[in-house]
Amino acid sequence: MNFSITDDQISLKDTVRALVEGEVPLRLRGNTSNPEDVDALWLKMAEVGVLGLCFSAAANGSELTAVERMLTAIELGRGLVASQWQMSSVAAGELVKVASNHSQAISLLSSLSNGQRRATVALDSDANVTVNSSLLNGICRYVHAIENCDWLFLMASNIQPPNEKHWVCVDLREAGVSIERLTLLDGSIGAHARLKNAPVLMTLEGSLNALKVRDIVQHRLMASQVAESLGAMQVLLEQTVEHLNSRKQFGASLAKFQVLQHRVADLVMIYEQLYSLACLAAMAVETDEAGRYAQAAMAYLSKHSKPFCESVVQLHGAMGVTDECRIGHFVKRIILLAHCHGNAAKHRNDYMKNSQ
Amino acid sequence: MQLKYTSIDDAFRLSVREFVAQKLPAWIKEKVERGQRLEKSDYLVWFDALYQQGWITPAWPIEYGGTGWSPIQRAIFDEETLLAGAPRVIASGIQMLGPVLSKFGTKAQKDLHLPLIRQSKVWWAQGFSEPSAGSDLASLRTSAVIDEDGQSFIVNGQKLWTSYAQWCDWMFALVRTKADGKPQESISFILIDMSTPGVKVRPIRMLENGTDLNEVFLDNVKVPAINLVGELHRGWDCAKYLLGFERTGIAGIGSCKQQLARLRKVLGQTPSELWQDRLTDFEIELLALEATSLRLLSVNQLALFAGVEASTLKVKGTELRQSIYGALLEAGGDAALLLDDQFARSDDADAWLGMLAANFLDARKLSIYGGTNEVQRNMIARAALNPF
Repeated sequence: MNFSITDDQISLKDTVRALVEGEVPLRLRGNTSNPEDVDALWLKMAEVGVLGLCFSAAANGSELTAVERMLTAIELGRGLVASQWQMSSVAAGELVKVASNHSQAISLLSSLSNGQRRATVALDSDANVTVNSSLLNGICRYVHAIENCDWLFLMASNIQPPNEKHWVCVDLREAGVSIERLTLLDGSIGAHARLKNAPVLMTLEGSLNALKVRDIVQHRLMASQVAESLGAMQVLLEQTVEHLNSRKQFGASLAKFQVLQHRVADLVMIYEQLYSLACLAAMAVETDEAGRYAQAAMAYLSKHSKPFCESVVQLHGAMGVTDECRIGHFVKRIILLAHCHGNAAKHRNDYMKNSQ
Repeated sequence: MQLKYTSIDDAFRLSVREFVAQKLPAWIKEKVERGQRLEKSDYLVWFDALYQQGWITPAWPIEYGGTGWSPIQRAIFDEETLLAGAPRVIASGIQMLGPVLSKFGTKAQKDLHLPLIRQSKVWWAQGFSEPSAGSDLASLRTSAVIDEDGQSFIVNGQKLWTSYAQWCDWMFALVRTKADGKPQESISFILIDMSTPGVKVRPIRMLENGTDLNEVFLDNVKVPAINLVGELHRGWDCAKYLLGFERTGIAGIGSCKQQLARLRKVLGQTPSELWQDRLTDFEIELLALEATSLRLLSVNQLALFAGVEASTLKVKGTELRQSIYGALLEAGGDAALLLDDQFARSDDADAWLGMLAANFLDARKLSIYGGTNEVQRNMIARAALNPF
């Protein structure tokens, strides 16, 4: 059991932080970006290898591990720029790695890692989408980070007996795909994707059971999303510290008041504990304990994120409830991450099942 | 980062488990698992088994009887022994004084005291807190004045909350040797033979009926000058060093696991969904605590705020244990309404539940000793609010 970080990992973290700080100043984080800026950032992420971090070299990837992905997610979380990366590089990327055959993987991952294609995944689509003669019908609800995407990966049930489930890829520009846009809590664009005789672009032909694939991908995504929330929490802590040190009331800086100090201490402890669980989840990704640790981290995030965020807002006073103050944007992203796979009770239940 | 323990650590864990299975007497295990009070004689049996194995003082330097275990192995040892129902090694001589004497003591002090501590032939009390010096330890008033012959201190004052003083032969104490000045320059660390005239111990009855905490009155107690540890007026250095050892293991991972196992036993094979949810919540909080504890043993682990680690473990560890004791009280039914183990027949179905209320009340002290949790939060906030 060892939680040490190598010099190379620190170097990667510093590189991603420099990219984020350079491209997205704090005062702009959380604002809606224009499409050109989004595309430019995406290409820069491709240049520094962030998009294919855990892909094979044959797919232009860096062949790094989930620990490097955790460190990267923290830094992207600090910049509020992880939304599309989570769904394209992590969810879709890991799905392709786990669910497709070798040649499919090389082809799809190469396009994702060099930034030519972006993708998202409908993790819970199997109950609502059917496939028959390579045509899809049904609806994928609440798909995340769909804007600017080329591909949607989804699980469809074969309409013919024995009604097997398959992971398939759909080109979102094809006829038969209609997108009902939804602006999510954090400002990112999600959607209900309605499929009416939409053609299958590719059926992933790996050997693993489709539901098993879904679990593996979801656990990896959760581990990465918990890490992202840590990055957002870092910024919230830094902003809170700065506010308490600079804001004066009753003749003293707010940092001098013990009741506020203790609130800060509680924030720090939540952060420290969650960071430890995020490390476990990242280390466990390739092991039998991946699900257990991912669920533990997500359960902890679900339980403690709201008190954490509420406290940060409270410590900022009235400024904390304005749109202008940056903290609210980080709060919204954390709340979304903490609940996008279910609530704390669900994660505890899943943790228990994974522990048996 | 590496998730798994090394094969060496796995083998070490097995050896500890095997040792406890062979050497821990069943009656002690039963007392511990029922939360009953242990007598000094119970502790002595277990400490002797550890001594014979060479495991009684793992944290000491090897030349004085330490085991040379890694911090991870010490954590494994604590976890395995406590989970198997062994008593905690509560002796202040072993946990605190040994490391201090090893570092600051004279050769004569080491030669005299360290072997007797290891053999549990001499038990030591920790004389730190006083009526007006709890969390604010530096405000202590017990004085030690050099005698006219220059060979002795005359000690006057009162120590408070002195754990197990009723069983102890000697006491290490912080005393004021200069009336004013910074604590770093006016407090000394001395060793007091408790059989010296003028030393009086009065047990304090606690909420749960226990009497393991005491007042120690010191009335013109003559202490040989050779019992000064470290330099005169520089006892604060010893105290700080000692408190570092006191914090080691303060997260109480092993105790948390021990009590969580007890809660599962109280709830039976099929706890309700509500209880299952609470159990899982405890497990995840414990996992976070354990991971944090292990993380802090690693170098280069990217702490956001330096210096908050020990306080975080103290606060989260003690609050989690208190929550589990609270849950035990709720789960225990009617038996948890008794203050003490009053069952006349040991085969009474509820006999093993008799101490739940006492244990719950006893656990209130967890967030008070070792620096109250409020003081710990002050320390965390200070580290966070002055980050640059």
